[in-house]
Amino acid sequence: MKLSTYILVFIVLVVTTALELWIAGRPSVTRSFLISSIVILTGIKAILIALFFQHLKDEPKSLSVLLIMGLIGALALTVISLLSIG
Amino acid sequence: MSTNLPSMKSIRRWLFTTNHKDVGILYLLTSLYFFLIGGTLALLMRIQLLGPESDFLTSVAYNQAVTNHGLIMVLWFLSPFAFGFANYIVPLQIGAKDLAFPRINALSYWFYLFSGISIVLSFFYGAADVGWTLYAPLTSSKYSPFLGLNFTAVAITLFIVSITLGSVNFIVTIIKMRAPGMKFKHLPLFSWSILITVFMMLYAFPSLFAGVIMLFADRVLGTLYFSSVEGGSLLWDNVFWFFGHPEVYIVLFPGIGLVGDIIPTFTRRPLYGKKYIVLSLIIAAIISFFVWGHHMFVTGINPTVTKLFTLTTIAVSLPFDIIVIAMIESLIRSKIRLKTPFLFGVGSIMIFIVGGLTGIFLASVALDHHLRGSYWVVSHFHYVMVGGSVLALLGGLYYWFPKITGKMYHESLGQLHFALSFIGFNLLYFPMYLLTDMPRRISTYSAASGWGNLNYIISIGGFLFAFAQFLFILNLLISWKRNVPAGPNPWKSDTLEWATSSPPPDHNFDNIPIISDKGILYSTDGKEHTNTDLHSSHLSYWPILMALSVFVAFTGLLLNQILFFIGVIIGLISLYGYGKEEFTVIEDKTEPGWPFEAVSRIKLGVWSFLASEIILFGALIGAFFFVKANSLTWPSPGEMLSIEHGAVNTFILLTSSFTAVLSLVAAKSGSRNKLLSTLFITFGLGLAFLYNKGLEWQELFAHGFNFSSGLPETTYFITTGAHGAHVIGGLVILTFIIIKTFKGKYINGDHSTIENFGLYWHLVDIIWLFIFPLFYLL
Repeated sequence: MKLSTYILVFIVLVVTTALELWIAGRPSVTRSFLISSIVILTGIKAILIALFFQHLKDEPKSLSVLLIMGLIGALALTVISLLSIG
Repeated sequence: MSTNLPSMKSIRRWLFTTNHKDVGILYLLTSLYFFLIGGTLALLMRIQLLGPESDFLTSVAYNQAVTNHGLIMVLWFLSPFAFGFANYIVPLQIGAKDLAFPRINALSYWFYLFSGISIVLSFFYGAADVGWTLYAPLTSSKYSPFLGLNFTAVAITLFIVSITLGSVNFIVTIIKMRAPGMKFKHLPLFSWSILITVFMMLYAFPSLFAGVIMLFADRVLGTLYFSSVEGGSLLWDNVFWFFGHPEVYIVLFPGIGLVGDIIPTFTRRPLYGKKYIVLSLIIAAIISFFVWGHHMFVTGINPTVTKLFTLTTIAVSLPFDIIVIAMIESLIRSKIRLKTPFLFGVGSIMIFIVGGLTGIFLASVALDHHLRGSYWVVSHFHYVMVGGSVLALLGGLYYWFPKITGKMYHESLGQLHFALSFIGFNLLYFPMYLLTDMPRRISTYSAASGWGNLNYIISIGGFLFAFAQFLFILNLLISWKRNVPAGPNPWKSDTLEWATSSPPPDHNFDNIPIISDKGILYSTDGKEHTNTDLHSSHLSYWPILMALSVFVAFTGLLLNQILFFIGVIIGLISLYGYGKEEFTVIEDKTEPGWPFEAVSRIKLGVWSFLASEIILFGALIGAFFFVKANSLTWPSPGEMLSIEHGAVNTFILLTSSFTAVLSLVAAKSGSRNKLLSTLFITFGLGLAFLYNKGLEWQELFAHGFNFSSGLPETTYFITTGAHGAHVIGGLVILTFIIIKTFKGKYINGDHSTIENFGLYWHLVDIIWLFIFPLFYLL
């Protein structure tokens, strides 16, 4: 992967984090907007790091599956645990 | 050609070996020792319950026996016994010389041994008496004030380290080290079952690890995860049973795989529907992660969720129907040889059918409410775990005894062992199905209860089963002494482990086996054992020392500060020695390793480990969500935590990820100076992150926020503490990398270590990206 790609990804990561902070600092922002925008921005950052810094973009899909299975497990545990609260 | 290991009689060999067969034998013997301990505890319980109103044991002693019987049998006997075989047999079955990472394999064993020593030590400090499920809040310091439970937590922690290392090792070995031509369709069922089992271990154990971290923090640091109403028993239940139900299959699958190898051998025909059995195992493994709530039907969880778990519980039984039917079909009209391994194999299926069928009743919420706390459940899970697993594994020991020792066992004694085990087992556990009105966690009962007669029969069955195991040990000793040569393939089996001598040479095969649909061929190019020239002894001093250091440090943490520092010092020395040691494993020609053909062994190992890390942090963050959802109040952003600290650390870690990736660019370009400078910057940023984190903690403590001042603090300190520990781990690895870079490594095309370190470091960064908004912004 080219150095310029890494630099571009890093810039996007920094800008996205700054955007998160800016949104979180706005008193006028509704909680639902805050949560959804933070979830989306954090997700984008995680995916960018995985795809470009960890090179999952160029690796076999099976490696992504290995991680996604872990992610599904973690999400299932969290979501079903929350739903289990009577 | 030999690998020049010291003789089998040399203690040096057994302490420092990394050979998979030696490690396998160590696992087998150690797990049998724990079988003895767990069995003795079971007999103590059966003596206590032999008759009504017994005072043989106090209620505390009885509870300690129950708790540790369960823990030891499930964790320290069943899986390690299966993995003794896996260590010894899987490389042989796939035509490999060893596991992918022999030193890590040895490390895995020593962590297992020291974890076992920790659980034994717990008896000297007031052993846990809360049941093997360690339900909260019984485990809190208030109800279990003794150190014994802390030792149990340490034991489980060390055990999970062992399991994680082992899982990664077996995943890489089975996927990447199969002999040329060995497609997955050629893989014997036992190796298949181990592959599926290690995947389950990889995803299941981190949840328990997260639970034990929280438990340990509650008990040692005074955090509030399980002692609070908002977390409490339901939080533990979710985290524990997310691990607990797959764990049932983790101990069961190797047994099923073993029977799947035994049946074709002794029926002299291929296993019926093998690929459907494999598919069923995979489906059951996946569903097993979505059934945990059926262990919680009586806890008052949301009724809609119970319906979901009823469905998944019924669904998970279906693949087992296919497995059992395929195995029965394999027996029909075949020329059966009624040898001991076959008897154990078929006996195991018969018992497992009963265990499986009686489990389906527990999918019904209505029935579960009545049966959950009764002896029905005790019987059900023993029919699955002892019948389905232990009997199959005992059959495995008879099956592979000739391979491992080169000697034939005593057949008549073996058959007597089976007969008495089978009768004793059913006498022991079947009457429990009739005791549906007897609570399963009581240490005694009144004569008026009417449970006396059945309990008497059960205890007699228990002693008969124990006597049968005495015959088993006797058989092993007699067979060893008799010294009747077994020959390379006494069963005329066609799996690969039988294609070499008994016992196999250190390097397993004189020539690389090449597998085809027509059978096994052998390479004759003479290049296959060059690795023995590079690494003649295959001994390493560091695995045992490293595991010992962690054990000493943890023990010191509980008992004595000096011991703790001794452990840390030994740990640093062993880490240095381990990192410095040149231990080369030559990669022979193998099957490409679908679906990871383009991925190196080490990289696949790292990714597998990272997958388990996702579950670990998922569980810790899930616990945060759980207690927050249950809390009426929670500090708003900026109220407790300074957003500035979090934001600065986020930018620091993002930058360190960037410099880590620049290190890779520098290594690829062959520039030592650029590599060193980017590594140093990454290291410095890691330190800056920890420094800033330290400052933040200090400020919080100064403002009265501590581990036990509230759940926001509890979740914050433990989650960021676990993350910080990972940063420290990364810095330790980075130190080695920097030292080796100074010596000129990584710039001559060997940059894989830099890349693999980056994979870890980036994941640590990604985890922080989630921690930051959750704790600081929302």
